[in-house]
Amino acid sequence: MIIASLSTIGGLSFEQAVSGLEAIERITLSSVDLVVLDLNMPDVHGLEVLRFIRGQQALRDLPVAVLTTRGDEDSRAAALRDGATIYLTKPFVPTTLVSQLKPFLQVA
Amino acid sequence: MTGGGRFFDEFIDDYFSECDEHLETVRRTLLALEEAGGSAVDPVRLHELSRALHTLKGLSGMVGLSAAEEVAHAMEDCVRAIASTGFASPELTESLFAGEALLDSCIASHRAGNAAPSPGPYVDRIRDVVAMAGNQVRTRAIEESAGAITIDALSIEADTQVQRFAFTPSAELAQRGVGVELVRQRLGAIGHIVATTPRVLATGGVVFEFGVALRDGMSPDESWRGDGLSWEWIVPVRAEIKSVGMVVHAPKRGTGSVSPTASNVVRVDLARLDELMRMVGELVVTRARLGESVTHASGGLSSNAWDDLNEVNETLERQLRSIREGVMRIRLVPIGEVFERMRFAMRDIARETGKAIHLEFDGQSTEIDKLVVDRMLEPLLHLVRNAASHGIEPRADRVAAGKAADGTIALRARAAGDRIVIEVEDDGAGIDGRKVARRASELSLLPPSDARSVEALPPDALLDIICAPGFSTRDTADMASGRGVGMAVVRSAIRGLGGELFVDSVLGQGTRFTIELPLTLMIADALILEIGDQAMAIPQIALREIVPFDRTAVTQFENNEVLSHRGRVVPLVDLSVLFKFPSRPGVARHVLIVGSDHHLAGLVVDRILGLREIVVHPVTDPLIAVPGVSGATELPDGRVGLILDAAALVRGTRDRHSRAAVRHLSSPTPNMTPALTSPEHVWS
Repeated sequence: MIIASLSTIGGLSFEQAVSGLEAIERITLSSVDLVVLDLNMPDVHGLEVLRFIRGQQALRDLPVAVLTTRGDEDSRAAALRDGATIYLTKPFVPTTLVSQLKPFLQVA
Repeated sequence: MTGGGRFFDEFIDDYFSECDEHLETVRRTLLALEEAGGSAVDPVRLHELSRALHTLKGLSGMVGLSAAEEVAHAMEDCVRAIASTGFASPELTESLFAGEALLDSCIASHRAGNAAPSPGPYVDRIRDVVAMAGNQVRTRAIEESAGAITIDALSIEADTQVQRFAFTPSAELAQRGVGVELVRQRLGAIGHIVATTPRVLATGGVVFEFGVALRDGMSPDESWRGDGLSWEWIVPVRAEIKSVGMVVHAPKRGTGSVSPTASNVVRVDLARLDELMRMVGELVVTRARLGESVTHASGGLSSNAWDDLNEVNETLERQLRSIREGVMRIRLVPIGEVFERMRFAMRDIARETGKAIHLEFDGQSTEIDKLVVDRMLEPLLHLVRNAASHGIEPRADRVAAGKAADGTIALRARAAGDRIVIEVEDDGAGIDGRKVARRASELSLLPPSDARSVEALPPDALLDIICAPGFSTRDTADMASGRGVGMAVVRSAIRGLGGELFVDSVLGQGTRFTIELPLTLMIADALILEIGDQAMAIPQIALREIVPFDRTAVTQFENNEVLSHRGRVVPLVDLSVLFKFPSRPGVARHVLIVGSDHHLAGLVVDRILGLREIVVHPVTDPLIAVPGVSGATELPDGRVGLILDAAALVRGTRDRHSRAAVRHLSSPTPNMTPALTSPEHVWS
């Protein structure tokens, strides 16, 4: 997992979930400031996780960055409609990613 | 590239028939969805719907019908929204119904070679509706503190035995390395996980619910209970297990019969079946010729040899009959498919008319020829629409009349010998004979002086007026029915299939339309007869009785001949006169009594040759079609015989009868029926 290697970049600590369910578990159990969500996960589609997050009162304002290989406009629109805060496409440069995410953390 | 073109043509036929099938599934599941209302959505149904839409999308993409593809895609979004909320909001359901209609019309347009309607507005609307549903999910989640999503529910197959598990994660468990992933691995080791639902608790925590189809002999380890996993044993005994948001059917074990599933059904082109039926028909004719030869050979053979030959011939006949029935059965489909479509149409009708109407079905499994089913769809739809729009009264009127507030329309089907009987019955106001008559005279379908007496006319006469082109009791057509061309088209469609339409109506109690149709159109048992030198055939089912022609029993009535038979007056049609085939002198003639209880007619023929199986070749070319003849057939002796259309011949006498009755209404003359003496009188 590429994100795993990011664990301490730019002063942010990343926690990795290997599946959509685990992501939901982590998000609800520990206090997370931001979610980087891959749409292609082995069990649950990323957008389902996103909708779940947006369905919880406590998590409504949690910034969620969707990270995907799909760069087409439809996928982007779908993700934003479901409540994605920012839509990023792969491949990505870790430091750029962090700099793109930071504004949302400051807001949060 | 001609080969490629042919391939594509074949493929496109498959496409349409597959679309029909999947649209049927979409309609069925949508209705089930709507019926469930606001309660928990049945994931099996939802899965079925989603799969059908997905297939429609894929297929439409393959044939380049992007409009249908887009609509199906938008509908999938709706389904997904329903799956994620676990509940079908009226907006979503409504959008799906609208989507089905649009999808249907896209595919139909493509089939007819027209441009498909633009999916744009629909797709835009769906986007809004789905977004709105998303908001509702949020609201619901806040209200219930349980915005659950059902993750794998869409992959549940029907007939799976599922055990439910719940896992409550905690920080303490996470410390020990017990998380949802470990639980999933454990459950995955003992069965197939078919559903996973994270559910948020009011306290803020989360519970993961798993539905697991346990493998035979596998069970969860009791020690897992210490790791936040809980389960209750459900012992499913072939019953439906209903748990929150999940309906699962226990596997049918040990039952001998296997219901047809996609895997053991073969799709066959109807044209190939027609071809097969035609070949069986040729065999039937050849066998009949063999039978004739055997009969004629009796003199030249020893009696043993002849008996053997005859026995083989008879065995062959029996076996051929089995083959014929077998081939015919392949073409039969349950009429329930058409009935289900009525349910769908009724939804729209109920909304347009604002009436609450129940549909009742009976005999859905009655089987009928595929071609007949397809051609009956529109007529049935029209009858049901009429019943809803004209028959069933507004709620207030019904209550005032002491009836149930909701109307009922019953659709029934049953097999009666070689025929299929379909009934459309409503418990509405019935047909007001006086109103019909008044309207008929306004439309100049009836002389004004006869209007008040029409109520006394039998149902057939009433039907004739209703079925007259241009007749409508409405001044303005509404959406559901009443354009005034419908009933005429209904009756001609039914007659085109060799069937007949009847009506019974009781004022204030309701109306029943009865449709009688032949089970199959291609091979029939028929009586072979001769008129002059011409051999003709008449389907056995049309025959009521055969009596010797006795000239002394015939009376002359207004230049027409009538026969007094069993206390009734039967108009006679002399076929040798009608078709201008002069009778051979001195031949003993017969009268074939045909028709319904209301209207009998006697067909005068010459010799009767016997009962045979005939292959019907319909005469559809309008240039060679002759009234009173429905088709042609090859006879055992190699001659070509015309097949008499008994219903049309009876109608000919009846039309005259009605005109005569109208003429004599004010006079005390008995209501006798003038017979026909020449074709000019019948179809003038």
